[in-house]
Amino acid sequence: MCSLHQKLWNIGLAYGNESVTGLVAGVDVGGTFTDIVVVGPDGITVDKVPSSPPDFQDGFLEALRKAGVDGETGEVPDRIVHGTTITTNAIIEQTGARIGFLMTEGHRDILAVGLGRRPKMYDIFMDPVEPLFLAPRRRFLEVPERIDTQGRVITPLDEGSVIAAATNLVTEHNVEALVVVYINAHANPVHERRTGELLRHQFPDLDITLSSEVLPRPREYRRLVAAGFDAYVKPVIRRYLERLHGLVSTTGSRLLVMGSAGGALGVEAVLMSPLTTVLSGPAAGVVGAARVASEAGFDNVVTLDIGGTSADISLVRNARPSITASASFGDYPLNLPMIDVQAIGAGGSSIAWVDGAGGLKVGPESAGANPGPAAYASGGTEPTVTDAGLVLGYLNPASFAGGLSLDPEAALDSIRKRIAKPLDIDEIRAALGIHTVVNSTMANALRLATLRKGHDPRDLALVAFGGAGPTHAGRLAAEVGIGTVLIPPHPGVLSALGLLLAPIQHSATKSLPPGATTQDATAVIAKLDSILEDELRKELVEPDDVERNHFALLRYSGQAHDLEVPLDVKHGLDILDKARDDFHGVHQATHGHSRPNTEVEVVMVRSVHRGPTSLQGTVQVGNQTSSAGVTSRQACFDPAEGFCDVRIFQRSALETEDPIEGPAIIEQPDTTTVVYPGDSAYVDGHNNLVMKVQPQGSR
Amino acid sequence: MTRTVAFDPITLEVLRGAFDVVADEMELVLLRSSHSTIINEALDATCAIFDAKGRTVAQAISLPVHLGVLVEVGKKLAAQYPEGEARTGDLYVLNDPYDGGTHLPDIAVAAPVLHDGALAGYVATMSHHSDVGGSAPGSVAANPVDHLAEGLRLPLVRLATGGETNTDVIEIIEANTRTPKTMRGDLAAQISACHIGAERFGSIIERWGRETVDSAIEALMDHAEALTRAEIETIPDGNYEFTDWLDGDGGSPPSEPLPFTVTVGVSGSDIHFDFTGTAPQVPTSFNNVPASTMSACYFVVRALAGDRAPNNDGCYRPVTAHLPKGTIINPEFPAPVAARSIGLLRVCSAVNGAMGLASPERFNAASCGQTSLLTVGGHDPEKGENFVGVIGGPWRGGLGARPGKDGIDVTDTEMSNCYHVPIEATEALLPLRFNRLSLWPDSGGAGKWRGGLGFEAEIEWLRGHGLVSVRRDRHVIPPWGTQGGLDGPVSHTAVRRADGTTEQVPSKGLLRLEAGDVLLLKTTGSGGYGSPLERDSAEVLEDVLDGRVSVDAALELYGVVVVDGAVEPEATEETRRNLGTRTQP
Repeated sequence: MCSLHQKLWNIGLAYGNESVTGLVAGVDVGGTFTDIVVVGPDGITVDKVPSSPPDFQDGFLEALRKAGVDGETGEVPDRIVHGTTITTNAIIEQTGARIGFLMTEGHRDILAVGLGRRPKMYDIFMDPVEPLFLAPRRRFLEVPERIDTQGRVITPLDEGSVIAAATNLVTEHNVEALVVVYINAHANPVHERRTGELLRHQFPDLDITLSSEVLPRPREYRRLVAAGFDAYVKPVIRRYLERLHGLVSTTGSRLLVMGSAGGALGVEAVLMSPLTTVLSGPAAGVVGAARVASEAGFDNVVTLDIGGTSADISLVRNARPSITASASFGDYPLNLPMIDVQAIGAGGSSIAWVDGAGGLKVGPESAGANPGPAAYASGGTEPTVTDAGLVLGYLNPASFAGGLSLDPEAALDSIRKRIAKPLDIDEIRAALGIHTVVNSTMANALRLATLRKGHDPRDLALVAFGGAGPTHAGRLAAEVGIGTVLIPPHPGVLSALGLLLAPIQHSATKSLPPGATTQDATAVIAKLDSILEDELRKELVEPDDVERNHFALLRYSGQAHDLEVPLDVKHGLDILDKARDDFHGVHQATHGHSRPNTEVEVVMVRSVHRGPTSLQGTVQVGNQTSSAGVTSRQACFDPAEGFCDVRIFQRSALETEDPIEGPAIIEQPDTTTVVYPGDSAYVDGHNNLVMKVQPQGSR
Repeated sequence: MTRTVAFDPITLEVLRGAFDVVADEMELVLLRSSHSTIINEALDATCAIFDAKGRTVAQAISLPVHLGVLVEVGKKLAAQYPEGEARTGDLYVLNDPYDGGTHLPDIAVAAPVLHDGALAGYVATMSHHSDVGGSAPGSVAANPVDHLAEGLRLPLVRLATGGETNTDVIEIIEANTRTPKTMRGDLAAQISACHIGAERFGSIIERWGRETVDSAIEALMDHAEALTRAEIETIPDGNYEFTDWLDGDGGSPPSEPLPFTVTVGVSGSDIHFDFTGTAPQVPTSFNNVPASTMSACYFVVRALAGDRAPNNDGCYRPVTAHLPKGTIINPEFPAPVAARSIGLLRVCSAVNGAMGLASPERFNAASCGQTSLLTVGGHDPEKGENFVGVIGGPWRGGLGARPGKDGIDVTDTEMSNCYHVPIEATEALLPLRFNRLSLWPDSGGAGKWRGGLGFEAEIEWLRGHGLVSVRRDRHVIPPWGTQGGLDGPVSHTAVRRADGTTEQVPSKGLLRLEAGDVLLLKTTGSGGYGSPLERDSAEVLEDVLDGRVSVDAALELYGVVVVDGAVEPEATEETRRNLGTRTQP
């Protein structure tokens, strides 16, 4: 296990409006490891313990114990912010709640009819793209009612049918949650709300989800999927959080949970909107990266978290993670505001292979953590990206990912057998090829991800973290033309730190009817604001400490996709007119053209209220904690030049602002940073490693 | 292992990714900024890049239906605007089906890519536009007089010359559509996509050098060819003949069913498609031009190689075809071709059937085999405006049962890959209401593996009137089952008039709806695979409990006796034994 437990100094801290003497802790529970960061007046403590699926709370408590903040000994944190993978797991492993649906008469099959479009269009053996596992068809029952597109009641709600259908679902099918999805409920939720009242009265123990509350927007399939998943995960996360909350509150700590939109919420708020935790961990990573970058002077960055099986890419603008109003989880459109994180199937354990006609490919298949890369010598025989890094001398066979030892012979052997021989090239060229191909795959994804947001990656800095991020970042940056790479002090536990840097945040959205005026919009915003103020008060945040931001979603008349534009509610002018004007510019920036003479529709407004973060002020992590000397190892960057002696530095021994010219390798317990030939690196005043990269020119 | 690539495999993979990204970037711009529902909801649009010889280098995959199409566009570009003719800032436009296009609504916009003044290649986009004039709103009339009545025909011409927009052409286009605003927006999106594509393709050449890029393109094509040939080689040599049928030509009176006959000849790694025996061309618009027909052949070949082979010219090299002139799959000008997509699906199901004879473990039973595309135009008195649109909901029934797997309910299949148009989106645009849209029980052909189900819909016309262009099929000839699997049912179309009378409607033609009329659609599912008597009775029970299979069909087709939500094992055994004896030859 990693020896990350260290006390550092030079920390400038404040804790919102709470006591400045207490501790705060971030606990990020992943599938493999549970990371903890504790910050207090004495410094920062970082630890890692194995996760404990399926009872993740055990690993959580073990992390508190290891960090000495479990209440047994010493102080307990005032506040613990938690990143969880429970929701994600329930969806991926299809282990959510047993749910049933009430649907408009004639429309029980919205899920079965589904999307229509298939992701693999040449594969006749594909599986359906719709989440049919939410419930079998027999658990979709119909109720007479109908609202038209303008919200007028066409067929009144048959309340007797509501009770009859729900009773059938409860008694015959043993459902633990009910979902109501009526056609055009976004235009007028009156029938869904009445149904909700009836159901809550009749079945007080059941969870009830209304599609118009989860996603008040048109497009019935998307609304059903969002509402269905809400109900599917709610009982699961409730059971978990209630258990955890009970355990944590006995120690006197207050539990907050990280949401996918980049803010932390109280347990009660999470249970109102459980799907918000679907990207809990990755969102925290982006928040951490955004903050670290901003303090280092970079407000516009792309973040890259490379783990074993996947790489997460996200864009940060003006020091704020970019939020998408309509995020998907894999193929499932959840349509919730989330930090826009794009995951691609490329990581340290991605398998390299040769196709039937002598082409070199890397991924998307992964050796995972078990058996893992060939170099783990635990049964894996397929060559992976990590094996290539080891063969090339980038990784230290004696200590990888916190003390794991690697078998260079096994790595070399797998590359020889599976890649070098079939391609008729030497092992070194093969290993470099694996690195080049995976870097290019990630660079392409990174490029598309930033362009999708209307940004040229060359204008951005790259923040690299995760176990494998700093190993690849230099090459990847060069490939897309990024000149600066920032590697935070603890790249392996950045998500846990990010938990402490996330504000308490609530948001609310509402559709506007066609032809809505600024007065209409202002009234809607005022209503959203008052709801959010109440919610933040419940989180012990006073209105004076709240930062309020408002957004409008707009599109050209006839378009199916909308873009978000900030609303200036204090602006004296017509705020919708102003938003429409701004929209042309945003459209131009995002899509390369605009049509100032075309009608612009305002689709919905969104209000976001941010309270203080758990940790304020500057995150100043002290540097130079060891005096380990510089060593060297044979490594290869160019097949023509072969292996050469490369200097190996220990991150903990680096002096601030002391430049290191590449090639060089910088080791620390949770990652390995490679400074490629021609590039250079130094430690900045915040103990970040800053790498200056030569963009890849013509060859 | 056959090592055929005489190029550094690492650089090759890097460049393959780079070319794909150019096409993806183009598609990103195109889809997100288009105006019409067909493009931005249904994604009926595609992008590709070509080398200087007009050969496909990469394609952003959204619709297989465009596969062969852009091959022809590339060839046309290279022939008409070669080195010397093409200038930086040029834009070209084309939709002529008899000269590189498919049907008139599909408009291609392309741009050359020049490096140091020399032609390096082209980028192109193709989008299905919502209207290009002609006799019916939506420009997909089933019964035009001839091709010239189908709408505006654009031979390959310059839309811009050296950066200067040719506004004359744009004005002509806008004057020939019922929806000029949408047309303007969609063309602008295509132009943006081409600009970005040309710039990105240029920067790849800038970085790697023209020579490396050119030889990488050759190597990538060789590589794709090798992968495709390796798959074809796994099919036993021989000739495999199969015929599937279109209900008729939709004329008045409609013709007899029309045969689509194909003999697939496999010899080593070569594959040949011979359509001798296919029906003569029809006077209605259900003909397919060769570019269109070939895309169905390419689709089936690509289905063999899967998504892993690069999508370039090399994939097409092992493929040859004989398309007899004057037939429904290679008509003589000026036969109308607008409503091509149903015939295209039939080419696809015929080829699929022939491939299934060659390799039953790799091909499925017939899918739904129709596009239930209903374009409508009319006047909405409430909004006081004319409209043209597509009646939404799904356009397809089921995916045919696969060896080892059931089919998929109500999904786009084969050549097309569009999102269903949400009911709520359709109701917001058109004066209609979906009173019902649900799975059609028993519409998936029975089999050891059951076919995917189709749907039934009841759509009420609310006010004013609408003129609906109906393009459906499988009302006479059902989707076939295979290997002992049963056929799916035939589709139905009818109208329940406001006065309560019900009229049956043929699968093709024009239909006028008045306020209070209800359009009744039953769109078939697909065929089954393997004998239904071999289907696990527990699976049959699941289908009964979920209402996909009725109790009667469980008994009569599967021989499974379901009483009170449970299988009666002894009665089932006996019924299955009896049914088995009865079906013995």
